[in-house]
Amino acid sequence: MKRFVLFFTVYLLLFAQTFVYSEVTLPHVIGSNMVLQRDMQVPIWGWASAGEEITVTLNTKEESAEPAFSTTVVADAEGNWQIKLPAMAAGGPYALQVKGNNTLELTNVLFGEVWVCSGQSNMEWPVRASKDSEAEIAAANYPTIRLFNVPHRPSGLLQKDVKADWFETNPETIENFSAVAYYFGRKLYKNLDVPIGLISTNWGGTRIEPWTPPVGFAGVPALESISKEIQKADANYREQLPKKMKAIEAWIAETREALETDALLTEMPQNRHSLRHQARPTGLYNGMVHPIVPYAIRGALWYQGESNLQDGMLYHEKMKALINGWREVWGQGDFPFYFVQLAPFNYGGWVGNPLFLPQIWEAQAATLSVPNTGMAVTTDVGNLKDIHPGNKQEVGRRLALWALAKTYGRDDVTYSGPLYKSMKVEESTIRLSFDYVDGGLMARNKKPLTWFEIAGEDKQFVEAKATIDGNTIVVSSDAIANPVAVRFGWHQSAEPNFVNKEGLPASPFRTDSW
Amino acid sequence: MELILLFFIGFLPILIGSIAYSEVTLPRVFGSNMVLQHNRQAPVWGWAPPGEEITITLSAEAEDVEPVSATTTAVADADGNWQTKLPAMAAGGPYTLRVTGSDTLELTNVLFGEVWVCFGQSNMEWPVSASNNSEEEIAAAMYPKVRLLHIPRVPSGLPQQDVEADWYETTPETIPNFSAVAYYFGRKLYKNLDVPIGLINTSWGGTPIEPWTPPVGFAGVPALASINKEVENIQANYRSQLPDKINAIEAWIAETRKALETEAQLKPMPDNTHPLMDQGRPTALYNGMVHPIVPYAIRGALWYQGESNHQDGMIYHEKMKALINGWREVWGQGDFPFYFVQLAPFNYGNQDGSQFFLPQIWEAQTATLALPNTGMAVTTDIGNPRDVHPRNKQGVGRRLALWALAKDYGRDDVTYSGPLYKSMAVEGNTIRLTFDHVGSGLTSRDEKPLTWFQIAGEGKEFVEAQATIDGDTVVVFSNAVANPVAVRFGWHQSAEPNFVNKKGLPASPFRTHPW
Repeated sequence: MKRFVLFFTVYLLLFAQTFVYSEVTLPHVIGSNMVLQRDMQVPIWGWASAGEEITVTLNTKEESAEPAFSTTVVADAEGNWQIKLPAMAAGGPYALQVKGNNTLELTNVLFGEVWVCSGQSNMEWPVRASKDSEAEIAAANYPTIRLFNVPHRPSGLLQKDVKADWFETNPETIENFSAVAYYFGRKLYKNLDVPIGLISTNWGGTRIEPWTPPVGFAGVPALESISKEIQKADANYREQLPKKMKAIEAWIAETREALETDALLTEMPQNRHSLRHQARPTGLYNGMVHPIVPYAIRGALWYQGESNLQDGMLYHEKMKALINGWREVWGQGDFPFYFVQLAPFNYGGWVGNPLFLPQIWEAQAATLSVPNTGMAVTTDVGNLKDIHPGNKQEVGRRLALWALAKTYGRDDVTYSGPLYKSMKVEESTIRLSFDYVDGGLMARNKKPLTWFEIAGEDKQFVEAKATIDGNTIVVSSDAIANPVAVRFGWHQSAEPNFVNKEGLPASPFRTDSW
Repeated sequence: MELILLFFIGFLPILIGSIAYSEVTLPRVFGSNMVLQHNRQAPVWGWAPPGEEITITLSAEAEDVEPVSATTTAVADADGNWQTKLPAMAAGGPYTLRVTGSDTLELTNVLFGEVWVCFGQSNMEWPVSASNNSEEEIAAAMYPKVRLLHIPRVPSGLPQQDVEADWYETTPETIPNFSAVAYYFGRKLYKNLDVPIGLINTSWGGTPIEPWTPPVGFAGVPALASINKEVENIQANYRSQLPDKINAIEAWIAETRKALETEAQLKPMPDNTHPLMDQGRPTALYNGMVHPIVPYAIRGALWYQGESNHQDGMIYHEKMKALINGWREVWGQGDFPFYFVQLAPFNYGNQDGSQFFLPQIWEAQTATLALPNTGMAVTTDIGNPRDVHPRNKQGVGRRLALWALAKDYGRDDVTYSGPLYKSMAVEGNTIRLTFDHVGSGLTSRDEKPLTWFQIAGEGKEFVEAQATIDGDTVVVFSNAVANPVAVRFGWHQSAEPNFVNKKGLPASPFRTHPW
């Protein structure tokens, strides 16, 4: 019986150890080699014993120098603590010391510009599988561009940490990193000359719903059914937990015995939250985004939509839920959110309809009405035969143009191709006007403009002649005497030649809503 | 301290209560509508409270037939496991199977007949609904004596005891999502043998062969020692980390109980995922999707897989050995028949040398015929080089059934294989090839000259060759090669050659030299 008691005491101690944090701990996103957002108060958070006093100190490299900053906080009853570093100018390296009963030392910490890059396969697509990979990898020596790659993990409940580390950019670390994120960050780095932190969190083949936090869906009436579905899944999980925990306890007892006797082990009884899947709403927000919230960021990049191809304008609602949801949980206001309009591609087989993709383009373009958003059009840098176009350099560059112009005050930068503004019927022609004319309109290959269509009341579109007239375009067809509507690039495999003088392509559009 | 002890003791009964089975339980592979293997002592097993005596009774359901019945008993061991064997029964039914301990389970509509396990990747999984003539086939699928058990996808790091699946009669409702190859195989057997057929489909698209192999399979093949070692290391590692993990899980349970009471936010359970719990990892699908049906008595197994291993070359032969020997070992039924499908031609890609990956898998599959009681359905003429999932599953099922009819059901008259290369002889500037499975003679299926023969001299440069049938041999020749050394046939991923025997069964691709 004595042994029994001893065993149990040891067991209790272990228990206590895992339940409460006896040591001060940080989430992985706060680690050596990280870039912290400059010019902004930066949250630093972690866990410790309840009531433990935590001192966070920021030191410059020179040991003799005064600490740049130091503050103390007490962990709450649950063991959570958070402080904010003061706004710092770009630079470093710094050391960050977090001292409780134990001490954590983070080194090689920089202040600069931090961006979260998320989406499906085209955002995940690594440098090694993109254009000029060999040369790009060999040239990737940017010790002040720092990379944090979040591993795949669906979760039905909010996770508070991920298994990942910050790395400097070099030929070894860049190979498998997101090409779009890297080329974006590299362009920023070259233009701003400050450290850049890139957090890549993405998963090929995933829809937008898994990346959205519950609060995002809750704010969009059109997505009420998804909100309900999430609530139901949560309630269900909660309801089944007591029974499942009993089964797990039985398994634990059995397993402890099996471990002692070298007997065969059995799998633990399932305790799966039904949202714990990369295709289920909130499943990836919970597992792959929440653990980095509220790490201070400048903004976010998004390249996704192929898996929502058939959503039509509902995709716009879903983008609203995503963007508003992220902004809500981050608590940083309406931070910049720049996204990539999908590239043309011949979706075949069961997907079938060549007008699905234009409707996603339309939903994406509509999302520009959300404040501080931007869209990189890619109709000229895709590949109709490859859903993963190799040219990620240009995609990254176009996203960076938005950031430079809108976020970093580079007024001289043209950042968008022409976006349809309005139309006017002028007898047998339709005159179109555009935003982002910037220096004028043209055809990128100097041939007549392509992919314009025109229709009369009967809604039968025919190929049209389109000519540039100053900052407008005049569209007509001999076959349509009384035109009513125009479409541009309205087909999944359209690669039109209409651009502004900076070479940025116009977004496909339609003047009708037929 | 007293208080703590009390707490601890108070805890124990719950634990014990839920480990052990409080009533007699059967794995789901035993259920109403099942087909049990006839002419063989079929094992029946399950769980019950330790020491409980289990009685199994089989009785004919039809009142007007002679009441065949059998009774057998077993006693659950200290862990609650019990197993017994039914006497060998003739084909027929329906029977009711009663399993009685302190309570009674009753399985109805049970038949005795021929049971086959069908497994592999997407081409085995491929459903009737997505195959040729699906509409008519589904409408015509009224075979109440062909029974289907579809094992759901479950990867597992440790052997699972049970699966969530039920037996169904074949009807237009049950057949659409069932394996087309398995169904067309079973239907042909049924039509030829007129006995009940049980088909167990356990397959998963995109999976390599390694997940389907039990540990003992890898252990028996020296060439796969590294996989065996890897599995052993992972298991040892898992075991050594388990004490910490279960402590963390216990802590989480305590925290979660509190949170449930206070309506607080729930935290995710600490991760205890077994590193092998993934459909791509060795042994994972054996553990989750095969082990739960072992040792259910079967006649044999069908296997259609290899696309996900198509770059393996001859090591795939070693992996097939591990799979086949492993299954035979765990089943304890001896060298039961194991028939597999040779992959169909498909354009996997045209990078350097990749057009020759598939022929090397064909070669590895053909080499596996050296194992006892194996058979191979060649499909070079019923594939689709642009679709890795050819729709003609009827032809595939039929060719597998030919092997079974000839080798297992004594149909001596059935030609079951196309020509298989046997030997060669250089004769001047030609090479003469001989074959097994000539049947009633060799021919060209489209009556055109034989295609996809190549010939080479010492220089190993293969050129297209003329090939002519000469009795039961084929003579290969090219003007460009004066001193031929080697012949290849169908040696390209998109080869769809026309060389068949007179029953229309195509010859397997081959090469006479390993270069």
